[in-house]
Order: sequence, then structure tokens, then C-alpha cells
Amino acid sequence: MIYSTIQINGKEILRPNNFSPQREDIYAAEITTCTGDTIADRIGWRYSDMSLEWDTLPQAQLEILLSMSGQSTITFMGADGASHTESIVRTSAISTASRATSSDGNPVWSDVKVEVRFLNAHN
Amino acid sequence: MLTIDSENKKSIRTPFEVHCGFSGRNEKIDLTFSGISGAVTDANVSEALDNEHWDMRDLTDLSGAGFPLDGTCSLFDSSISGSLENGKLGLRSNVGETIAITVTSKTDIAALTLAVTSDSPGTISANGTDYEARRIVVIPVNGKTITLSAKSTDPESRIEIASITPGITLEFNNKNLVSCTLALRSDLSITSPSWQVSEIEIQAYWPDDISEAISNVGDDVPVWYYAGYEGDYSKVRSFYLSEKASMENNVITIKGEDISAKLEDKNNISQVVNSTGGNGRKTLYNRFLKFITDSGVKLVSRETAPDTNSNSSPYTLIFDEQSSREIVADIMNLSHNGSFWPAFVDAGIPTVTWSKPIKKWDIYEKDCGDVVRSVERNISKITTDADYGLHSKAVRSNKLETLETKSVEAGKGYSHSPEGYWWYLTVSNAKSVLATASKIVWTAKKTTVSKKVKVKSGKKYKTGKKKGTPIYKTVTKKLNQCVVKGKSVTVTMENSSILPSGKRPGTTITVDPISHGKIYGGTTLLYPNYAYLFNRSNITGSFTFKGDPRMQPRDVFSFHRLDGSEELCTIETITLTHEGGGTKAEVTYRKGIC
Repeated sequence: MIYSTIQINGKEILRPNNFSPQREDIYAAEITTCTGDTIADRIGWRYSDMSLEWDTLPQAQLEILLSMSGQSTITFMGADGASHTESIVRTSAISTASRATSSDGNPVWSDVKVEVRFLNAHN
Repeated sequence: MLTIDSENKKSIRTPFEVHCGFSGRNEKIDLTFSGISGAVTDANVSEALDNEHWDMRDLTDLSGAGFPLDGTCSLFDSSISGSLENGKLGLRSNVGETIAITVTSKTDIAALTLAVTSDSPGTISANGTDYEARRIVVIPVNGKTITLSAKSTDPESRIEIASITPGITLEFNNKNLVSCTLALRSDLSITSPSWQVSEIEIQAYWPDDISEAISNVGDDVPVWYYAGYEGDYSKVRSFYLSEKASMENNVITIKGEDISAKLEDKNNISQVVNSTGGNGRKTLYNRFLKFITDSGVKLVSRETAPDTNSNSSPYTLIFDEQSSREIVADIMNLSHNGSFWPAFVDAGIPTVTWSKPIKKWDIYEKDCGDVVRSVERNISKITTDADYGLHSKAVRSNKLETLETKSVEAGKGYSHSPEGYWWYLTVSNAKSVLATASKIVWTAKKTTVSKKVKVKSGKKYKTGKKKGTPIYKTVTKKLNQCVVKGKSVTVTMENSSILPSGKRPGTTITVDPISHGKIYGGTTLLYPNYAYLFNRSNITGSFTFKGDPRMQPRDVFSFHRLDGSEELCTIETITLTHEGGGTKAEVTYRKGIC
């Protein structure tokens, strides 16, 4: 089991800071009642939209993020000890604060951030 | 076990399992099967395979998927013919083999529907196209014969086909439903019922392109629907295809309407209803039923007619020529009184009752959204411009009058339309007689002929041997004429407008009565009683709530208001929408029991 990395489109990348996908319910036929309550049918769950953040990311791994176009896949080890693969789309531009050069001469990017949305619904 | 009641009490509910589809089996076509290889099948294969109602017989499978040791499976015995009692073998492939079968029809068929009962994956091929062996597979044919091959993709498993039937039968559930919307309607308007048919619209995903075959499915194909949870489903609602089914981008659209649509197609002759105070309720209810069933509506249930009593005061009612829908709506609108409450509700479960409904559901305002309550203007006067007014008296005469004498030719059709209304019309020398309240139609039996006959002259011989005997004369007389006779009904207007008992402000409404005369229940005017309209609530409303597939229009519910008050209301329409996996409903209602 590897908890230090995740995969995006099958390519390994460092696991983002505090990477812990949260589940949220999916509702259909939602009604807001006259008292402001919500009534709905729970049709399943999916992972919540989340922000992937890294303190530093080598140039080669940043390119994995940059190559995300349209629907992509993310594979990660969950808290249940199982590997999960989900479809995601990038919902923001990739932001980074500064660029440095590592000891091997390759560029390293700091404070990298990208928003993603999980697409799969589960029963 | 999940139940609709327990789930509906929750704010967040488990989605309903929705099942719907349509049965486009072509009943007029018999299929024959030949060239079967790679499978076992029933000795009476044509009868067994072309039959979707016989269950598959559980067999001890010694080389395929095995069998449970609980005695539920029997040994393969080819001598047992398939039947409703014995079940059937269907078409079961030998392990590792491909089934080949040729299906033939005497006339062109658009498509075949295969019911696959094996769980393991498989493919069915026809005309060079492969279809995944799902539970229901529709294969376009557009011809008289087609050769199918079917195999399990797991070499250790069999593929089992329970039936191959002509036409298209589709089943949808939560897995492939895009949406299913039901508009279930009654009409509780005070004055002029504008009752519409109930409708269903299904949109569902179907992986194979069957657009051409599905477009050729004829009208009146049954469309069915039920929803709920395993063990607690609503009753099956039956609709009938009302528009051409279509398929676009792998989404099938099916639109159906309930059988009450047939009421519009049935035009009723003007007719007289004779009753007494004692049998008025029964007579009106039975005639109400007859208007419905004569239109071609097959009822799911009907209440037994009310009892009679010895009150023998005679009453006569005349219905003008009208469609069944107008008459049925009028009777429901103008005869609800005391415990007598004739109602026809279809919405896919056609039912006729006469007992006043009681509360069936509790709905809490706090669980509802978009709550709207509106108040119509009170009715302060009901009036009409009709010749015989709102209420009229129809009196039967027992005098048989000769209305017309006609010379006729045998086999020719004739008619006579006397002035006014007639509760009894008859004609001599006639067959195929149809009498309405104002017209009689018949076919002459014999041709009228002129014949010389001797008749008494009215004089007597005054002298001679014949003195005192009548004198005869020869005259030409017409024989075999048709003589129309009848007994009349005299209709007199009693009033052309009525006011409520206590003066109240409001609006004057104008109506157009479809009947004359009256039916009494005991000593109470039963129909048409426009005064009932003054008692009907002018408060209506609508709301959105989670929806319940068991609810019917005209169901009575207790509406628990936010302020703690409670009021009985009657559902007028329900729009039940299954979409995106969830269900909700929009309900319109009128206060009170309507």
C-alpha cells in the first residue's frame, strides 16, 4: 500500500497535503418545504469537490497536472486501505506561487494548487 | 423491509424502485421455430417459446451452473410438454455451444422480443449484428424470417431464453429510466367539468438501435407502471400508447393515456331513464356504469349498486345526445349527495364507486413546498339559457299515439323523428329497430302492397233473404305498412336560475344542462341537482411534496396545516415525476369532500 503518492491518469504524483477525500450524499427530487427544510430522495454518494495542494512539486509532476484535459482519472489509497479510482475534471487553473531550482538542476514549483470535481456516483 | 409509508415519513427517503414498460406483443401473429441446434427445448416448441407467461422449469444442471440441493429442481425430462402448470424448458444451450434457431412468421414482423433468464453474460446475433443478452432483447426483423444465434460468453455457463415473441416488449427500471412522468387527473371544478385524460410519459435509455421497429408499434399497446419497494409496490397502472413511440440518441420516448380516453369517442343517443324514488340511486348508478363500460372501458373494480326501497313515485329523465365523457362528468358533478357519491376514477386503475369517499391519506403542510391556497369567487346564482331551464319536469304519458304510417320496401332502412321526447317508440313490420328519445330507426320486413279487400260498408240489407246482414264493399287497402307509435314525455321548465338559500355575494354562472327531468333518491332530488354546487368549497390549492405512487385523483386526504388545524381535501390532479433517480409530486386539490 502506498500512501505517499497518488496517480493522475495513471502517472504517479506526490500525495497532496491533507489529502482526504470526503464523501457527500447525492439527492434527487429536492423540495424546500414551507418551513425551509429540505426533503429529498438520497440516490447515492460521491466524493466532494476538493482542492489539491502541494508545498512543492517538481516540474515533471506539475506537467502531469498541466496535461489534465477534460475527464481524467485519479487513483488513491483510501482510509479503508483499498485503492480507489475515480473520474475527475479540473475546475480551476493551476496556481503556483514561485519557482526554484532543485539540487539536480530541475525546476521545483511551490504552493501548487488545483481544484477538481469528482464525477462518479455510487450507491 | 422498506415500505412506502415508513420511507415517506423520512425527510431523506430511499428512492422508489420504478418499473414501467410497454407490451407491444403482436397477438395476431404466430411464430414457428425451426433449425434448432445447440440447445434443448420443449417438444411443443412453437407453443412454449412464443409464450411469455409460462415460467421456466427449474432443472438439475449437472454440467453447467449446478443446482441447489433443496428439492426445487427436477431432472431433465424431454417427454414433459411445456405448459402453464409444468413450466417449460424454453431454449437452453448446451454448455459451451451456440444456439441456432430460425424464427418464421406468415406475415412481416417489425421485431422480436427475447426474454433471457440466464444471469451469465452472453450475446445474441442476428442479421450480422450482436446484441448483449440482457433480460429483454429486442431484435429488428422487418421481414418474415430471421435466424438467431445465441451463446454464453462464459464457456462454463449456459444461455437460457424463456420466450421469443413477435413485436416489442420493453421493461424499464431505475437502471435505464431517464424520467417517468404521470399526470393523473380528475376534475373538481364547480361549474363546467373540463376533465382530461391521465397521461404517462416514459423516457428511457436503450443501448440497441431499435428506432425503426419501435416507431411501428401500433396504437393501444399497453403501457404499464408501478413503483414502491420490494414487497410494497403500488397497484399496476395501465395506460395505452397515445403517440408514436420514438427513439433518439438511444433514448426511447413513450407516451400513453388512460382508457378513459375512450369516453370521448363514444357518442350516446338521446335516451330516457325511467326510475322511481325507490330505485333512483340504483338506476342512476347502473346507467352511469353503462355509459362507462359501453365506451370500451374495462374496469379494474366496481362497487355493487346501491339497494332499492319500495318508494314507487315515478320519475323520468332524458339525456340529450352527448359523449360519454360529458355525461359521466355531469353525473359526478351534479349527483353527489349524502352517502351517494358516484365517481369514476381511472388514472390507469379504472374504478367506479358510489359510496362517499373517506379520508385515505394524511399530508402535513410542513412536508410540502410551493404551498398555494386560492379562493375562487362564491357562486351567488346559477342560470341557463336552455329551453327547458336548469330543472324541468318530465311526465310520461301512457297513451299510445300513432305517429306515422309509411309504405315501405322490404330490406330498406327508414327513420322517423317525431316532435318532442318519447319514452316509448315502436314500429310494426320492422326489424333492427333502434329507438332513442326523439327518433326511431328500422329496417322494413315486408314490402307494402295494395290489395282489394271486402270491408263492411256500415249498411245492412233492408229486404230479401239477406235482410239484416251487413253489406260489404270492395276497397283497395295497403298491407304491410310500417306504423310508428309512441308514448310521449312532456317536459316543462321549472326554473331557469337558482339562488343559494342564504343570500351571499359572488358571481353568476351560466350552465348548459345536458338532461331534462329528474331522478330522485327517495324524496331527495338526486340528479341533476345544481344546488349541490352552492355547497362545494370555493377554496382550492396546490403543493409539491415527496409523492406517493399509490395516490389517486379524488382521494380524500387530511391536510395538517402549520397552525395545527386540519382540513379534509380532495385531490384533483397529481403530477408524479420520477427523474434523476428521485420522485416528487405536484398536487392540486379542492377543500372538502368533492
